[in-house]
Amino acid sequence: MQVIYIMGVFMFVFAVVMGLTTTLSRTAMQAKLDNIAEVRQMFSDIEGGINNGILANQSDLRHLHNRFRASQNNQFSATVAARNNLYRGVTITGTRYPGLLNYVSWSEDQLVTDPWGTDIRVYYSTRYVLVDNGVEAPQTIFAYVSAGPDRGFDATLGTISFNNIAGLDVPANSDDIISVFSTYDAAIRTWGLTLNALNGAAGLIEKDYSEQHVQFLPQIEIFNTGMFSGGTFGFDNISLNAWESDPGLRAMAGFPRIATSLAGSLSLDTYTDKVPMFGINPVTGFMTLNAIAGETARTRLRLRINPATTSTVGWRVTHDREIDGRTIISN
Amino acid sequence: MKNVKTLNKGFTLPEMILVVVVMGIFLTMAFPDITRLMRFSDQKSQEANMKDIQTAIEVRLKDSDRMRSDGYSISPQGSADWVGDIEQYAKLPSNLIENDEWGRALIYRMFVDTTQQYNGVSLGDVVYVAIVSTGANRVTDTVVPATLSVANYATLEAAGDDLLIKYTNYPERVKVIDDAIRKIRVIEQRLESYAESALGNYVVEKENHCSGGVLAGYSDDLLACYSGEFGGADNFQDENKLIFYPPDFRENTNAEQNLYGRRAGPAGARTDATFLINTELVSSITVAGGSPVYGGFTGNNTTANYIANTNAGNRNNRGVGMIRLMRIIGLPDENCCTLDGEPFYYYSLPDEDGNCGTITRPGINEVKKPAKVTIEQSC
Repeated sequence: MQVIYIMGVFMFVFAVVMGLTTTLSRTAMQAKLDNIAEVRQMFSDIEGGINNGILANQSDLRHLHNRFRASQNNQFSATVAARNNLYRGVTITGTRYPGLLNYVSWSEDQLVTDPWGTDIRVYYSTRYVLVDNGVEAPQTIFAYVSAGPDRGFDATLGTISFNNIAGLDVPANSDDIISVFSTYDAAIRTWGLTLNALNGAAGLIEKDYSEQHVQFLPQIEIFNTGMFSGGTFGFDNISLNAWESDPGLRAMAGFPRIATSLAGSLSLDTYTDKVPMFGINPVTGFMTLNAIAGETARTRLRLRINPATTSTVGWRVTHDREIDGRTIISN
Repeated sequence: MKNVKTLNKGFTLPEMILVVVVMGIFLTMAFPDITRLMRFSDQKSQEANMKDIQTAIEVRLKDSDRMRSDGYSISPQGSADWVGDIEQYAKLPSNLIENDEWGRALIYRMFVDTTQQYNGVSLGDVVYVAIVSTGANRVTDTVVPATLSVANYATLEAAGDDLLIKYTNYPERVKVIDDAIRKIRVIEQRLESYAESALGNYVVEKENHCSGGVLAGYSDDLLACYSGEFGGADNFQDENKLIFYPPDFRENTNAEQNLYGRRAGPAGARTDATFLINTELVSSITVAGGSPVYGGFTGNNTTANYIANTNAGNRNNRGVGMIRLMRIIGLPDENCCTLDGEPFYYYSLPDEDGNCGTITRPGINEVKKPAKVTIEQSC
């Protein structure tokens, strides 16, 4: 009888201990899985925030810190200022360059430390990448590394370089969590928007030229009939816009040039309301679109993309579009 | 005698005192841990509650059919309704949404930014929400801004034992715009295919009809031919200056007419031609060079193909119209709208600069532009 009693007590205690152990283990395992999922989601949000948030409002990351200039290879532990600027944003001469925290649902603490209390390692490197003929954009690659539940980093990078970051992977049997992404897609998107602006502005200028040319057809006809032979009447070094108001119309005969008054940033003058429609936003760091008048009488108007800021190295663009009045009229 | 002695066996008073003292020592040692454990449990529980609240906010913002009467998708700051707005999307009872585990009301801040752009398109309402629990000490350690803004949302951090959740639907808005741009490109491709096909048919029809002879006095730009199948003479234009939009698929019933504001056309006007759907009439439209032109047929029909699907206030009708357009051009119904269910805007017959709305439309002898499909009402 006594034996049965003792065994019963033992079984009861055993069952209670087993139940507690199982429940607590499940809870701990679930918490671990939840944390891993949370880190993966956070890394995904960081990628989206940089590419679709920060870089939807500026052409590259160099405004945030010069560490994001080309040929820079770093990690945030060595460049806290770069991290802070990337996350919090900066204000430079009155212009606000928003940071990652404006575009994600995470706090800065969460972005810096993983759920197991280990600082997240971030490696980055910037190089130039060709996105179009004559167009090179800065491409920054990031590797976000969490040590995982065991709080130990298993992945090793060696020398920080673009290619090494691109090849960083989770070692076998490691619980590290790694996300590698670059700003390439954002660069392609930015260039697409810029081309839209270029083409849109070119269309407006061509239309303007064409309409004005019609008004001057009688005068051109007069010239062509030889009434002004001797070259006292022409269009060479005047713009069509100026033609109307310039009393001293004298030059060699030639073909009307496109208005030189368009020269300069196309975010100004009459195109102010048009240019933003095409995605150009010079205030927040997109490239500016400039019209450059022909330097000589017979050269054509060129539309040229320029980086908004010249003080730091940004995009390398030698992408002009020539607008030739003869082509417009012949069409 | 032996049994009696056994039954009377028990603990002596010193033994009892010793046991009680030992138990007291154990309990005293364990108490702080028990308290800490309970507090830890409360904190974990509150963290879970706040995640649930965050998820509820996220789902609520995706549910575009649940707009508030004040035009917000979720309560603005200062409103006491925020709990009511999200409680149906949360697993928690409303008292655990409103108050934390320690009985203090959660601090709610919300801000809507309508100025942000992505891909040259407005992101619409970008919502920022911050919710703070004062934690076990019931003291607000976090510097909670009186009014949330884009700038202080970014810098907001929990302090002390406070718990903080931050949420912005910015990534969701980006997904919506990306998806919408992709859909619109597909629609544009289908409209182009339709136009090419319809133009081929038109040329054949024109040749057939004009073989009966051309009315005197008409130029090559506008031919009037005998033997039109629609009775009497039909006018045909220079096909190089035409563009064909998908036809109006409305049933010719009063109900449909009333729904979409269609008016009766003049006698003999073609009603099955290139008119489009869900037309919102704009009485101030003028057409350069004469009467309106509908895909090649002139007339005074004021019903269609000027501006279609442009009524921002009549979202349901716009949605019906866009779904019909999708069926005409052979796309699935869901291509009608953004991911959050907002139907696109459709503008036929824009002017040469691509402007639409109340504008001067291209006339008979002017080149027509492709229809425009946009995410926003403006084009």
